[in-house]
Amino acid sequence: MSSTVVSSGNFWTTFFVNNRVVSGVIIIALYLAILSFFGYLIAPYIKKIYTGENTKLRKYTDPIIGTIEKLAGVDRNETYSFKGYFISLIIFNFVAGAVTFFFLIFQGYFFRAPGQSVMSPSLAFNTIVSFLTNTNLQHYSSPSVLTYVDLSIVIIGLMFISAGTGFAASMAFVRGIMNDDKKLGNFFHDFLVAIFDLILPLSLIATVLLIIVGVPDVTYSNIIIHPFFGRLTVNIPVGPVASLEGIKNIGTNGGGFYGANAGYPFENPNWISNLIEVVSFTIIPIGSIFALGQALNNRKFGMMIYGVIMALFVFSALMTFFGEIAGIPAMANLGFNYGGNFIGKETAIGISQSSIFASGATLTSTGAANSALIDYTPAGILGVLFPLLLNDPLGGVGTGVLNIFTYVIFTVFLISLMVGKLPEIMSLKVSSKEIKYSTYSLITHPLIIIIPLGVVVLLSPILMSSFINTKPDQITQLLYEFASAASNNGSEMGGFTTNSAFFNIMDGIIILLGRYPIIGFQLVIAQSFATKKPKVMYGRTFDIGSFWFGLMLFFTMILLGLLSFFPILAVGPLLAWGKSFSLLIGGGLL
Amino acid sequence: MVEWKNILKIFKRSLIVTVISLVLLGLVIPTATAFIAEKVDPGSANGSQININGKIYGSYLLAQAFNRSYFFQPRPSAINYNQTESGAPCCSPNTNASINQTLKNLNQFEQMNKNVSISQIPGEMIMESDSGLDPNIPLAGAYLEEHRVAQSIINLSASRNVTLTLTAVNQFLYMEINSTAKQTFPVFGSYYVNVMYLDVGIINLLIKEGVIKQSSFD
Repeated sequence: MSSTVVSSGNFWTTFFVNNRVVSGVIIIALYLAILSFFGYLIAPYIKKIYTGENTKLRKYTDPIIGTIEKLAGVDRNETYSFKGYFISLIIFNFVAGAVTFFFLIFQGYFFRAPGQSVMSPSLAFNTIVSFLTNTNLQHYSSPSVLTYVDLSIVIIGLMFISAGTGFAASMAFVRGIMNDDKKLGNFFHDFLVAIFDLILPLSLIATVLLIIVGVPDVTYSNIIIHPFFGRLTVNIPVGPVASLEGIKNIGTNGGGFYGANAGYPFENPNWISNLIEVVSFTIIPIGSIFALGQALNNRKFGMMIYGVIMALFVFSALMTFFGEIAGIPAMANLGFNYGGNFIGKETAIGISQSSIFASGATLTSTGAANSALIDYTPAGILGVLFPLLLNDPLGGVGTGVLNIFTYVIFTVFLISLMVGKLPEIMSLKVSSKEIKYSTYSLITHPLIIIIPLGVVVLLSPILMSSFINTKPDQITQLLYEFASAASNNGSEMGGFTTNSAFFNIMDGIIILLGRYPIIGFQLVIAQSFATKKPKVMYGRTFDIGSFWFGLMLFFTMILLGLLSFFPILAVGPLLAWGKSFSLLIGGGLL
Repeated sequence: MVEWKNILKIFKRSLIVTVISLVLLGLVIPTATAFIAEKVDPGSANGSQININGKIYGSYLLAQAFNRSYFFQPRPSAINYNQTESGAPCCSPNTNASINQTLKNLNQFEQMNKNVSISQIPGEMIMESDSGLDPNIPLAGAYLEEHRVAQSIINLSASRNVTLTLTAVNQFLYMEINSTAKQTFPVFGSYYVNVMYLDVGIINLLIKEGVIKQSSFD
């Protein structure tokens, strides 16, 4: 062979190019380092938003926010306690949902191109609910059922609204812990600040970077091409793809422009776009964790939570990576140069970057995917699935901080029972009310997964008949579908007909229950803290910023989150894993 | 207790903020961004279109079926390279359906590229991608295909009474492959090439050498 690119390098270059396992681990480590760096970089900025200080952008955004507030009749100095804040949040989300739902149903009569199909009401309900709650589970194969106006107003618009709502909730939560004036704030003001000071600027930066890398962004909806050797012209659907990608990732939304999501070359053409997307969906969640520590004057606490989340991140990413690079023995035995499970993965992204993307997407509530999860190995899907079962520990925009804090409260309660000290957070006493509501919010998640799963498996053989794959895979797929809905993640594994009235409505209800009651419980906790005055530190309690507390938090998360699902995992992915590696005694029976 | 009057007030505020947000954030800003992008960076904002003498044949980012042996073949597609769709194979890789499909793709590749040792065929070449339109193949796969492509180009041009030497074609193809090879990550990534670039290069060569007219690609 004449001069090849690969052999032209020195020893190490050749080593890294050929040794995919070592290189993959290094790539994953680099991704984690880069996304942590950017999270750390934005933390002081998010802290300023949390504490209400003036940010650098405030000069420019304040007139815009002020104008919208004036139009809507919002008085920013009017602050509310839990009830007023939460009712505003719910009504605002209800109105946004209702407006977009009717828009989606009725605009078909005005803007739709001839021949384009219209969404069924159940599908429209599912779509609206899922985009309104930052879930973005897609039961339709975009973009064929959506017009340009649908995509921009309904999909992009709701992506901003859901991210803004989540971040506003976290602003109220932090305020509740910091202040003791019994007030959480003004929802509409928080929402507008979250959008204009944080989410919109970041998503515009992401959009511009993605356009430079090669993601299309146009004002028309089709590229008309004459394919090679084809007689007829073909319309490739396009539109504001980069704009959608920007807010999709920054807002931890995850619903893609195309059916294959970030696996479609237009959405994610190469490693640079992949890195931009991973950084953009982790930047606000990780930044918020550091910012939480900084706002509460306890940087150690922020670092501790970061450490716990990173431990989960590393575990999830490596589990996925090794599961995928090991692949399926039956496939490897075919005799070709296997090199890992490349089914459903793009060449330009590779196994390691698909793994870090998939695990990052389920750790945050992003739910985007740059590879087909249905084609993952059982071990690989386990690595992607378990963050869903922990209710997205790194979380979405805003909701991440809330979810982690409920785990923290629960752990504080457990430890103080064990060592016999007063349960305290930031020198605020933790009383039965906070523990009760954090337990509610932790228990809601497994309940709304397991009950629907039982209903489907036990009661509806007709629904089960639409499955393509074998039994353990079916259970994994159902668990994944409901876990993704319940944790408002939106990552889609598929494998059965999801677009049926039953699944559309069932998922819609799970999504709603996984979003609003949990935010409600968490804001009740914030309200309860808002009525408490911090005590002087006597050193009578344990340090919640310490390594040991972090370790306890880690195991509490694993214990609470994973053990509730262990039986299902055993008959789902674990069984399939054992089967494909012939580890089971009597495995032939399956 | 929150009164009904206040609830109505919240509804009114919600409606106004919703409509402003949807129109401003959803429609105005993305459309403005796209409008600017089209003007400032037309190549990449318009989807990296393949333009041969003014005719748009597709995008460099989306693979098409090249059912001729004198072209490099993209990865197998679960959606038959349908440009309007995207899709991955239906089944988990531990199912028989998936293994049989891979075996079928393997046989197809072997049949097309005779004299290739099976243990050299990279997995990507015979496993379907996520989008079904993956335009890239691993560098090793391109080298495996190169022998067949070069020979087929020679045969084709001989049948059209154009003389091309094997050395020249090989040199051209290797130069095309090596100059367009990219890594999936700096230093640590594996190498891949874009099939659409290679095949458009071949088309341009064939047109330039007078082997084939552009109209025969329509």
